[in-house]
Amino acid sequence: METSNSRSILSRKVAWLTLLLIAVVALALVLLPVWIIQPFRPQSQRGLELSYAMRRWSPVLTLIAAAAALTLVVWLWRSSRRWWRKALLIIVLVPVLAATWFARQNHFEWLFNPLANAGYAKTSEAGHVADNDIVMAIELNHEAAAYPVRLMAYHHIVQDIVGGTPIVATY
Amino acid sequence: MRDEETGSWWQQVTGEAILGPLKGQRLTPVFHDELTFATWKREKPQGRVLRPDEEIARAGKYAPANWEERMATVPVATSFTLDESLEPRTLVVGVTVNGASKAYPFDALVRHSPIIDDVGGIPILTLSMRKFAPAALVAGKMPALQLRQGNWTLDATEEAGQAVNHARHLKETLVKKGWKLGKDLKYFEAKR
Repeated sequence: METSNSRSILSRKVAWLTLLLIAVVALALVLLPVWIIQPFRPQSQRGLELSYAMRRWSPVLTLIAAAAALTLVVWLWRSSRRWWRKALLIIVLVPVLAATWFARQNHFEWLFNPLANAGYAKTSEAGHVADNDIVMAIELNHEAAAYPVRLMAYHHIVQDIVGGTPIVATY
Repeated sequence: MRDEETGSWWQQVTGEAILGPLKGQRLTPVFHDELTFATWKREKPQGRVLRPDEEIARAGKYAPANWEERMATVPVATSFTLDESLEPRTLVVGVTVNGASKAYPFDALVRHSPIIDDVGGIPILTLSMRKFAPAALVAGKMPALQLRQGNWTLDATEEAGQAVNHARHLKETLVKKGWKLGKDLKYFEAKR
């Protein structure tokens, strides 16, 4: 009887540790790339490759992590009598589920808001641009186009055809 | 930037795919300039300007009027130690000749232009286009400057109109600085 009890306690301990490990790994899978590719910070080729690999695999891996975590939570829930242990299970499960959701977001480009239907004004009618505003300007095949930096700082990317040539303006 | 079609990651500043299926491919760079709207519309009155999205403008999400001042204060991401003699975001004109490089802070260039110097054993002349030809840089109308056997040749034949005026202005400034016309500087101006 005692042996059976101690085995059960050991199993629960192992289950708890596994659950915590799963939570840490799931969070690391989505947070490490964010930390590596943060703006205004130097980046290395190796760091980018690591982020890219994690970004590619995280949707599948976090799904597996979520399924495993959910299984462990259900099992531990049944054997937990104290309310705070059940609460702790939920607290550990939430970040795993959050990581699973986050892995499906294109968070690297949350700040990019491509202008799907870009409209243009004639220079003489461009009242929305102040004289001292900076514009990014190009001229191709005698067609000139300008992209005000204050607009580009929000959209970051605009696709256009200038002088018959498809271009992408980025800021 | 990540393209949705292939999942490749593109580096904004170089237009190169740095990761993913298209790694190593590069978009063709297009010559562009960043200048004030006032200068641009003087140069390109027939041009077109990107319009704001009304909804986003109403929501006040576009960058504020002091955007450039704000950007001047953001950190610079480099993997090497910066030379602290200049502020990290100081705008400079960089010149590399024969493996030797020099940088001219833009403000100093505007004040002292033209600057006559030596880079990599080659005499160079650095001009502030703001002072000499505020419009020329955009249009690619900079008067041709060439060094021929130790003498500078200023050739204003490439484009008519404003470029010729700028070339004349430059010639007069250099002569005032002690350049001898015909010896240090050859000046050509041809009508089209």
